[in-house]
Amino acid sequence: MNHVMSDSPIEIVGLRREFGSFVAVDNLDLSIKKNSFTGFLGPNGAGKSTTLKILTNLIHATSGQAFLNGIDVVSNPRAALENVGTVVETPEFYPYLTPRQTMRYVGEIIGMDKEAISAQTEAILEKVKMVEWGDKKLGTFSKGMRQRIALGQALLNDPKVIILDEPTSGLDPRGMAEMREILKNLRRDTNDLTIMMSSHILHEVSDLCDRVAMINHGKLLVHDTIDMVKAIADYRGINVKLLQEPTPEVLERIMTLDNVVEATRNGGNECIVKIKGGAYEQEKLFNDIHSLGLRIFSLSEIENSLETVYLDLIKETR
Amino acid sequence: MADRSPIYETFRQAYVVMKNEIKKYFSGKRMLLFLVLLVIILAILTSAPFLVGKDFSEGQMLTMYLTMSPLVVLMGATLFASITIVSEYEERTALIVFTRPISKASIFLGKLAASLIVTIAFTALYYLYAIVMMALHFGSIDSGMAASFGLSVAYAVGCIGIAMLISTVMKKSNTATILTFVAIMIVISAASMVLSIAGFDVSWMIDQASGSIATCSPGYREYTDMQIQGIAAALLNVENFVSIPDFVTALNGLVTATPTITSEIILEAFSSPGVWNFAALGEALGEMSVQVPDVAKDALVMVAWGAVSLVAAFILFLRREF
Repeated sequence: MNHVMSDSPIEIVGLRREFGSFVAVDNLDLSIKKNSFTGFLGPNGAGKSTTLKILTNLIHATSGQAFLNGIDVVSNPRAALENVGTVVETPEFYPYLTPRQTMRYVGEIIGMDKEAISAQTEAILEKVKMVEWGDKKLGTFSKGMRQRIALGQALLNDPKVIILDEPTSGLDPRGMAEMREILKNLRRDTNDLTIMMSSHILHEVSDLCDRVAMINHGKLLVHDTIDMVKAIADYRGINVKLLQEPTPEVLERIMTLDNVVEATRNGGNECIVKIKGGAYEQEKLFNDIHSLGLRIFSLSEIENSLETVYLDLIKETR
Repeated sequence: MADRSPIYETFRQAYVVMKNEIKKYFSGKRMLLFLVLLVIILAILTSAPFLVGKDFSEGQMLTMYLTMSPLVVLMGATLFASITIVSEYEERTALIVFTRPISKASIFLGKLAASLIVTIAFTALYYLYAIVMMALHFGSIDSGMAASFGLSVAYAVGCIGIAMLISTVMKKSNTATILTFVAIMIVISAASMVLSIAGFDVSWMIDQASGSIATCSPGYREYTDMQIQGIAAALLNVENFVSIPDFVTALNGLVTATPTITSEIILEAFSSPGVWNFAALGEALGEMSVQVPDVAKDALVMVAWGAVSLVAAFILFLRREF
């Protein structure tokens, strides 16, 4: 089956990749929603890069299929990648070419005509804020500048799908911020665009993406909107401010209370108490702490972060 | 774009890759190194009569140029073709090009075409220089020059095939370059010698076939025959033997012309226990002459080496992952 009719621009079906006895991607099924910006998360060695490299035809799959715009990249990479832009890891450019020459080279490979390449190049250099560097040799560029050009060349033929593998990896804080801003603008200004981005930076994913897919050991753990993923945590964090210092003894006593999973000091008279359950359990915690003879100054729920959920899910599958 | 046939697309994209590859060659330090080496070779060949302090005969000058031409081809294969694949992985440019809607066949064909064009173009320039120099000095051009150039092109196909095969499996460009040079200059020649001594027919070895680049020239054969007869006469009258360097030079020429026959004769002459039988060697050499090579067969052998290497390289390239 070379083609699949689906609303998902990226559809992974039973994808498997083995490196000797190590299974990097283990019968992965994943369907990326059209026009979504999906963060692809997982610890080192989870299979993220392997999956993305299969999608971008850099490595082969042991079995399974990976459809891009309905075409299987495993069996027909050229057709599958026709409407796809990619930035995998930190690519390098031919140092003797300028950004404009690089765009021309990529455009000619894709089969764009000269006028289209020229027009698109100017628009893209504007988008990635590299207009004034358009005729300088890439060999002299910083990593951040090269990464912006890498994103630019990925956009050359107005792709419907963009695959990004850790696009801010190795950049300095300014470079990261610039790249994120470009991605935000891209998302805001483009209607028909699906982006799949792997990253280790969870706040970046929270900031940019509307959906998230987490994998570990090559298997999908969860795939949903960021809000839904945050909500799947089976405990809530409560910030408790006491009128006394939460000494280790105090924390130990809090730990003995019903529904309490963890109690840690958070500086000053504050401590973070993780409890199982919902509002009722939170109300009960207030009374229970009070019954221990501890005086509460304030008690507030902490919103679950993506990091909390991520670490929990990873812990479960370790 | 969607209406184009896959075959048309393969060649169109190969052409785009080829243009960039040639640009890459001309922008890199390797081109500078190649040009420096080429200029040194041409400077030595041009100034040889002045350095030696005597005029060269037409045969001597022709022999010089023809025996050096395989080296020019080898330099091209070593400096350009040996890095053409490996550099994409080593320098991570594959992450830009290979993730595009382009087949590996296009990439491979483009790179092969670029290596062939650059190597053959410089070889042609070398021959043109040789022809101009011969014409200026002697007012004539050897009739075997065109055939010799054709055989050099066949040798280029063979060497570039081997270089691209090595480039496909290596991880570092510099290692691929060194290995290509060592493989063609030393390993294959050593294998030929061993096979020859063991009594096998080595006419299908690329180094043996490349000998016809020189021996296809009538002027070269005539000059070398004179050298052989000179050595034969000297060996028959050992007391005339005054110059060891002359003997070594002549013997080198002889080995280049007829490596298998020469090694057999030398082995036979020196295999008698006790003393070296110079007279027997001289007699044997006296009956020798440089054979007119089978140009078509030798060209086919060299192209076949290239074709087999390129097929293997392409299969390995298809399997290679980033």
